[in-house]
Amino acid sequence: MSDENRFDPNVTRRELMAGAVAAGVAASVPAGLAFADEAAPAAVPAVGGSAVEMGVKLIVNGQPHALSIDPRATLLDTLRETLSLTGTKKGCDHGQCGACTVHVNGERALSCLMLAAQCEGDQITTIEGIANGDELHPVQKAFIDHDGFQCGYCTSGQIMSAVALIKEGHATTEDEVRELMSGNLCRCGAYPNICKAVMDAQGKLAGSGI
Amino acid sequence: MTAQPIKLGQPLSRLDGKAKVTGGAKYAADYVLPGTLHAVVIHSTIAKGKLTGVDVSQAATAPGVSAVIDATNIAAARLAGDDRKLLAVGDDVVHIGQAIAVVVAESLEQAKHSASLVRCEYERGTPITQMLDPHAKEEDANGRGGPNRGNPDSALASAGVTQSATFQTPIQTHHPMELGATIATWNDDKLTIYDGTQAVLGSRKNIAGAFGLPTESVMVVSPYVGGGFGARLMVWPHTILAAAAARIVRAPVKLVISRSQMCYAFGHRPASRQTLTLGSDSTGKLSVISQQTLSTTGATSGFVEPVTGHSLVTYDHQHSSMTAKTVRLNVGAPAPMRAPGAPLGLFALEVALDELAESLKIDPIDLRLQNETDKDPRNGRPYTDRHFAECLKRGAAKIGWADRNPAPNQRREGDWLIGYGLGCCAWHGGNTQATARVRVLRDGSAVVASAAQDMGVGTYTVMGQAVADVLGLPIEKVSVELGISTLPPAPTAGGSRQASSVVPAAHQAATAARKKLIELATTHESSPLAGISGESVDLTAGLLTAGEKSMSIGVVVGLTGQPNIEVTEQYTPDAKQGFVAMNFGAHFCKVAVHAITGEVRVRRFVSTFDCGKVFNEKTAFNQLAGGVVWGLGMALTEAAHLDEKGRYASADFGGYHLPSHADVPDIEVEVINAADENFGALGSRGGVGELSISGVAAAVSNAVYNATGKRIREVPITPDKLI
Repeated sequence: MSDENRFDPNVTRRELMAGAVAAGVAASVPAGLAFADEAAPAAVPAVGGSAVEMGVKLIVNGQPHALSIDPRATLLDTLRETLSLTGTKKGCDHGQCGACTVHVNGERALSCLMLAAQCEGDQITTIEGIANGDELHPVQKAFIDHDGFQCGYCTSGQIMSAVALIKEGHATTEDEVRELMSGNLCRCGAYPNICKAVMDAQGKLAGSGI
Repeated sequence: MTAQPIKLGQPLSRLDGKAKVTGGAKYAADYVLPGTLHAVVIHSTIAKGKLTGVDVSQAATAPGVSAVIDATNIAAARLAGDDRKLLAVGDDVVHIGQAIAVVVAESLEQAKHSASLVRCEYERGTPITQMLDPHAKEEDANGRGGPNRGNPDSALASAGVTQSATFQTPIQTHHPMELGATIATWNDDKLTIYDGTQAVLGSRKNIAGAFGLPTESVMVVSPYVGGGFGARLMVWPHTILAAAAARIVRAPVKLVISRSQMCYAFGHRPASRQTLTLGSDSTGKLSVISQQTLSTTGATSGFVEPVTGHSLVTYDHQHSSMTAKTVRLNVGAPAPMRAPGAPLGLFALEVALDELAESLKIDPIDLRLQNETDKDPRNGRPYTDRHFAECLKRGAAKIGWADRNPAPNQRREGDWLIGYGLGCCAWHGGNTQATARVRVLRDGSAVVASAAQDMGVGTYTVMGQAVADVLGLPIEKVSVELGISTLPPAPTAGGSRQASSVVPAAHQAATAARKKLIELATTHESSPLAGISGESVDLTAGLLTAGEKSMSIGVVVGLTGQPNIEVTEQYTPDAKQGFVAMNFGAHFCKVAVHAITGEVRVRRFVSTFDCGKVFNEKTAFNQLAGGVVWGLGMALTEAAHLDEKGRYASADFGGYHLPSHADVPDIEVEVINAADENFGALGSRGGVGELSISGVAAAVSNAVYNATGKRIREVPITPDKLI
């Protein structure tokens, strides 16, 4: 896509996404089924500037939230702007940098490429939800110990990727960590330390069941 | 828990670490202000021409829209001076990414959709988008090149050996991970700005100026900054527009620009073309360095990339000729980008030295040692300290340089050709005045504050470390406040001189606080230490002790009846006169080049730096390694390609390739770590942030030559250049 197209007022990615996915939402969330206490969408919202809102139930870090959202809202913007969970970062909004990585039902997901409406009933875990109270997750602790960041802006995404990677049984060699973490960009260039942190945490977590 | 004594220099973990790993660190767009509206900028989509019409009628009536601000109604924001022209209808469009209008709506989705409804009409012109476009007019930027020294022409004519070649580098983009983001909120005529900046005070001054307000009427809040690398030294138009919009809609406004918009209107490093010529005798003793440079700049920018800035400082020579010309492209303004100029100039110099060494049949290390100097060749003044030769020797030993075959294209492992390369770096040291305030509280803790910034460079940590060191406190008892314009004045986080300014300031303030505590404890009538000589009082772990008697510093504070004791100190640079402060280093790498595909993989990277004493080995090493990663990006992946219409070929991370995890091996960093007595500043010379990026691309290019026999003088070294 050329840049001119990207800025062309006649075609925007948001419009395309809103149109394409809202239809899917209507199919998967019959009106009135999800939560009786929320105004369920009466119809597929019109593409464009409609003020129509829809109900969606997200379970974020174990807490259920019955939300009324703009059908065009991404999961990322919903976490940040509606739920004020600002630990998840927007670095590109294109699925290219990994800063917005969260877990959806335990699997890594780029929250900028998902609509919140897609996540009805899903278990979402964000960086705010991985510590056990005041006790940091071993990956968080390893990032501090190995200085696995500088500015810290990509860190939430790096940690969320690393936690899932380890849980999946990956991250057993440095090369594997580098390959499988390559979707998480770090402009400060803290990669060597991130790699050490992930390896360290992997060693400590192996067999711990976390 | 037994408190560990904290010392400056030790590899302490970051004080802001917990905030960063839990998502608790608040960057500009993370502030939640009730009633915040969302703004989106509509910008020019042609690189040259005239804006003949802006139709906001559809956008203005879209659901949720509070205002569409364009040139016809921005006057309500009461901008002053040139900023009144921030959104100008009919004026020349000179690059893609110039702001035309701003939409403000209740939600981000509504603002984005409404922005898509703004229609712009243009008369299109023909932009200049390529440095070597025959229609481009070269402008003389001399004075930026530097004066001739000695007699370069006759020195070249009489040199036994000359080496000359032309080098090229593309536009590179800063791309800090944090998007350009501003939240602006007004309270009558007082403005608060949440914005990631490398200069809270500079930012405050510029924003106040834009609205014709007294400086004190603006507060800039920037405690966490998601990377800067020079781009956040500037106040970009979107920040002023956010404040203008907030004033018009009378509500807090959040404006976050897109990654694509950051390609066009958040700075970049200009492209360059240089011809570098060396003259030496047959032993490799250099007599002359000549560097004729051309670089791009923005359509209306005065910025000149200082390509030649660090080319003359490392090697002894008598004669030099440096010129600088620029070409204006129809692109937005460049901005200083990590070590402005140096990575470009030193790419050429350090590859040229490799070529010279080969033609002289001497080792590239020996060629450099042959031209060792302990003074600045430009002016003959001695360096405050210099351990360049040691950097070369240590790095060579570590990478196993002796194992390198000087003849190229001799070593193969399967389909991979193996080579070793060397490239060296230089970046000036320096520091400036800075102020820090230390408060000691009744609970025995201390707070140090300064209007400095931490964009990931470790400022929180090293300032806290200095205070803990002086006051004998465990680090948990020290907190640090930075990044707010109302705090005591500190310099911009630019030029890698912030730490060497604010850490001495914190140290000085803590030292004054310590003195005050001891004085109080030994003179106050109700103190158990009253009457004891201050010199016999020890301060460890927050306890003042003299013989059998002791009291906590919190109790001392209590003696005053005040909530705290407070000291504010201004540090003034304490370098000895007559010296030049310069940092140096040597990069060694081992690369593998795929014989069929031309893919370059960096297998090992070893860097040794001479940058005085570092304040924290953990954070400084990370930053030095990060600079190497930037150098690897320059060497292998990063280029922003403009098409003939002035559009970037792909204005996002899909098209602009930052190094990723898989591109970066372990970076083996070592520092000489010699305290620089002549420089002062607790022995740190500054320069850590910018030193390490330079010379990396040369090391890689030289290693690629050693592996393949192909001399690549244009970065990035993509496979097309090798097959």
